[in-house]
Amino acid sequence: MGMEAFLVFVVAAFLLSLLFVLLGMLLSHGRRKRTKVLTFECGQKPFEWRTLQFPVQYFPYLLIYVVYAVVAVLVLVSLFYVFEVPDALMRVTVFLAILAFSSIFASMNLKRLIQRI
Amino acid sequence: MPPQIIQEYARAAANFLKELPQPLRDFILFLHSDAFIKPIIFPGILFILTFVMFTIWFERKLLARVMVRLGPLHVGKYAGLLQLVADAVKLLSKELIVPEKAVKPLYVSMPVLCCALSMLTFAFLPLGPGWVIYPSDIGLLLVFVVLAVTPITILVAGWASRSKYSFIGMVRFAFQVFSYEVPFFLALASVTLAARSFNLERIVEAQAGFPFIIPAFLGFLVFLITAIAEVERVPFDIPTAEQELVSGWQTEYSGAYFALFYLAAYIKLDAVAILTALLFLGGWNGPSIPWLPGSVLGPFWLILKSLIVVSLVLLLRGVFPRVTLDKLLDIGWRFLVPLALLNLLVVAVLIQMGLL
Repeated sequence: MGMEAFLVFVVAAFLLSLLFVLLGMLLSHGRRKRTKVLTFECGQKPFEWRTLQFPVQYFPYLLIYVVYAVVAVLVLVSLFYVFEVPDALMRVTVFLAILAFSSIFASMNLKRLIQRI
Repeated sequence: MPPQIIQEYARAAANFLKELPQPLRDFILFLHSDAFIKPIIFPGILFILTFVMFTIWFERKLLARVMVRLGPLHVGKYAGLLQLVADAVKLLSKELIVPEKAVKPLYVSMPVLCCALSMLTFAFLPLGPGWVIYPSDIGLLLVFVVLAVTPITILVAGWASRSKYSFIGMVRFAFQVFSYEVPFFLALASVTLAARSFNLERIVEAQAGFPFIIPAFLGFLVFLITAIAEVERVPFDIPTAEQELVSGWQTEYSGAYFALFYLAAYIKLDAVAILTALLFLGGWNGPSIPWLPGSVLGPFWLILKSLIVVSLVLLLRGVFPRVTLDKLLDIGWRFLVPLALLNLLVVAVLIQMGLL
């Protein structure tokens, strides 16, 4: 049904964004200089670029959020279960209660995380 | 005008249309159909652009009032309304610079993708009964998917710039995405459980009696906080912190590319505000107004409610300082996720008791 309108919208959205870049190319002016294309570095000459700048101290948070992503998927599945079988609400309520209280318990007991690793 | 004359005009127009060559007639009929009006005019491009322009002007005026300034004043006849057009012309006339270290194809394509993808959110948001570009039974999930895909363009843009500031901003943004995505989804889930549907129109119809903010108040709080993190507004604008990171992942972008990212940020803000109004504030349900026709009433209430949400989010920028990244990560899993799960439990118990 709305497929045609959707396709028109997608094409229009991309065209509008491209139009901005084209207008920028048409309207922009200025001469190309070596100093303009240097990487931004607060007026200094650029240092060499290092790839490994990952903040390791936040790694435990990543683990926690991956676990919670699995929880979110479980919640989604149980939602579809309730939509299909309305009688299953009791079981899903118990499941949600377990999830809610265990997450509250975890957040109360793991107060300082960064220093653990 | 008397009705006879209108009928005559209509007949003349129909005759004129019959005499036109086939492709031209098809084109005129296409301009008249839903497939053109919906994506281009009302819930589509023109509406989005006007709403975004109004939002940016409103933000500058509001923040100026918070700081006891006047804000934009000179461009345009009333209160600097055309300031934004002047800014757009200025940004577009700036030189397009691609840094020599940047990965050029990615660096150039990501702003376009980011802007187009954030506009795509509006394809699934109904702005009134029947006023939706792509009606779908899983509309809410589709909105969530689009909102979850858009950050990837930003991550790639930050990486492709190959600058220290961009890279730090990009890493911060990645952690921010990690922390808000899960509670955002869990807050959505409570609404779908209350309405027993992922269809956004069905969710609004389920709020005919009372808006879902009443049974799911905790969910509303979690949703609002995560939505602010989603659109990178102050208190959670950690990745684009102007004062410490010179705009984080946007550092190397200038001219038209920067204009696209700027536009995308405000499109996302408006989309999230409309989503909040649809899910928690009752959508287009509202008391009828005598001088407004019924077909305008729904969009009127929805836009009014979303403007209230927008001004709330904008006001935070004038009031709150920025939180640090570890604090955001902490808030995410220690407060937002348990609150969202608790809210889901409350909604489930209310349904069990037959109150919802």
